[in-house]
Amino acid sequence: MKKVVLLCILIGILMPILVAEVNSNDFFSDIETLFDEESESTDSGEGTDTAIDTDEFFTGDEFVIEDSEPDESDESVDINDILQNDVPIFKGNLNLKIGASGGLVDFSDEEIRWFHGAESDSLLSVDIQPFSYLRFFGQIGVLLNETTLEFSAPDIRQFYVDYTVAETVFIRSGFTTTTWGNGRMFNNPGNLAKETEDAFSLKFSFPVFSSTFTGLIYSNAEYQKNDTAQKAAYAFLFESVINDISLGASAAYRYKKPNPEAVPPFDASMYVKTAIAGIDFTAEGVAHMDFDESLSYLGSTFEGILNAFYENTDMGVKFYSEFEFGFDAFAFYDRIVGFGLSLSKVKFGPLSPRLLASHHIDDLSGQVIIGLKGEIVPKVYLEIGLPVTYGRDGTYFITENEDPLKRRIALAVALDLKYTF
Amino acid sequence: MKKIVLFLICLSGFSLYAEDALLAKIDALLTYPESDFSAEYTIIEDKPGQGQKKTVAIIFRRDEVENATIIITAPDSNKGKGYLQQGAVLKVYDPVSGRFNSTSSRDRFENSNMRLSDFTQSTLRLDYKIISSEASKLGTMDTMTYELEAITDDAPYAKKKIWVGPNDVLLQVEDYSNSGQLMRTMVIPKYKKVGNRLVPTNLILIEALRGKMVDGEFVPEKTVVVVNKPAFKAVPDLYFTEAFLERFSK
Repeated sequence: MKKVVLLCILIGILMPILVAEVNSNDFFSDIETLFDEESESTDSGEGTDTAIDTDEFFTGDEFVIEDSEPDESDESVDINDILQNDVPIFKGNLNLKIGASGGLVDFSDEEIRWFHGAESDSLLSVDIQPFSYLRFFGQIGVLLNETTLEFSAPDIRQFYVDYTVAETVFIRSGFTTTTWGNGRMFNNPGNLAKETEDAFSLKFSFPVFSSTFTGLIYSNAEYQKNDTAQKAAYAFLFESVINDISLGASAAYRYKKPNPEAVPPFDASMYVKTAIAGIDFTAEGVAHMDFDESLSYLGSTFEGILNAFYENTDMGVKFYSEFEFGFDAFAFYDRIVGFGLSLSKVKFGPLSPRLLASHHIDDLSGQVIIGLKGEIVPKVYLEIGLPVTYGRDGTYFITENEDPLKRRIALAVALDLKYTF
Repeated sequence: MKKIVLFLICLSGFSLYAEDALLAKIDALLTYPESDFSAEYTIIEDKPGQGQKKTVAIIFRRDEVENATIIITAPDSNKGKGYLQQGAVLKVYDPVSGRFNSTSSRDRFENSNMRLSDFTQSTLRLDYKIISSEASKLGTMDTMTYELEAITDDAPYAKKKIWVGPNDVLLQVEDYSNSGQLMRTMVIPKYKKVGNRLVPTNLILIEALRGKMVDGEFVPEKTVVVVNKPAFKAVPDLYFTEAFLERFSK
């Protein structure tokens, strides 16, 4: 406890110096998950509990029932007016984060290990939509190397074409990531489209009665090297709503990779989601089915998640929790449980609190992050985070700890400048 | 004696039926099951001390199957954010993460004074029962005032007070919390006749609790909603899918 207090005092004294001499640090990623939303502010007064006088709206001719003018009779919302842009639209996101952190590699460590540095990821996108049914989108990014403080060469983050056929089938094709699955906190096992992160994909969606069917074909350099005829992977997602229950089923087929560590060739997933008392509850199960080259069944493993999500914008509360697990014919394994909480209307000056806690049930490792975030001057956010990681060496959260020094406890302070145009 | 009891039971039943029919009639005025509906909503929020904020959204409704899509078209910072109602399920699409989250019709639209339920079809008959009524005046207009109490958990507010004008046109609504605290007043001073339907084209929302003290006086937040381009034309099925919102994401 004394060490933590000492850390706080040292951070307070050394922060201005550390910020001035920025060197290298990628520690911020540890606490970023806490701060994935903008804080909001609402002025409020004492209010009134008496009726408001609205008679002025109903005196004389104030109340009106208008007739449509003849030339207005055909006027309606036209998505062409909204979507179409004859000239390219350029947009950008600029971000620079500087800060410092100090912490202990082990709880019994006598020495405080320091990091201070900067990180930046800037994006520039161009959007051209000559017709409402045709759109081109490209995005490049430049990353500031956290170690050398040199900028990377610009790389293509996204490039895709949208085409809508007769307002019936929506097609998106190019280098863009598709995300399926309902996992929020950990590995999102239901995301059978995960490989689209570095692949060229073709996705098409169309309504089927009150449901939606989405097909997905994708390929990347690894698939192209495949000796067999199959140079791509195939997946589909079918989603429907029955009363107040959302249902979805998806499956993916990939070629059998020679690497034994590779994902199995067949995946199938199903989810059920509903809201009870304003809380989203989701159950999702995924089966990974393995076959040999002659398509003989070798066996299956299973993963699942149960999660809850609650957000109340009036109260400024956001809460989510998740239980992720794997199982096979013999036992459950890799059971992880966690929750996150943010209270945007609880204020410590301009800062509001966040909490993120995760625990691995089987290896007894875990991580708790307590944080504060707020906009201290326009476009500049102050973030303070205290991550605590526990567990034996080699356990899940110790291995996954994103702190470059693998510190078990640290106090991080960062200033984040964000600008979007 | 039996006849009197029977008469009272019949009277009570008729009264319940009449009240139910009134709420159904108001719902019918604001619900369009026979045709798809589309419109553009301009929402101007006036927050004391913060100036005005303008949001423009387009809405497509298919009340027959309780489908609705709302897409924000201005300001640029929120352009492409959308809401999708499919039956009893209401989702919000975040174009940044590309994910859908469930939300409630009770939630505020973009932290404004509008609730998502203000966009979609009226469900007074399903959510409320009338507990009292009286003749009243609103300005120079003769109206009837009804006090309503929620009968479902899905009701946006625990209690309501509604002012109904000639031809059962809804003119004003006061929303109350369970404790009887006035939360919001909604005034509908303008309707437009589109075909043989009436569409509210001007709404004024006055918050009772959100506002600021100015010179010792509470100044409430106000929101003016102008509904443009109301139309009852067929809308493609694709407009009520997640893919449609993805298409709008910028």
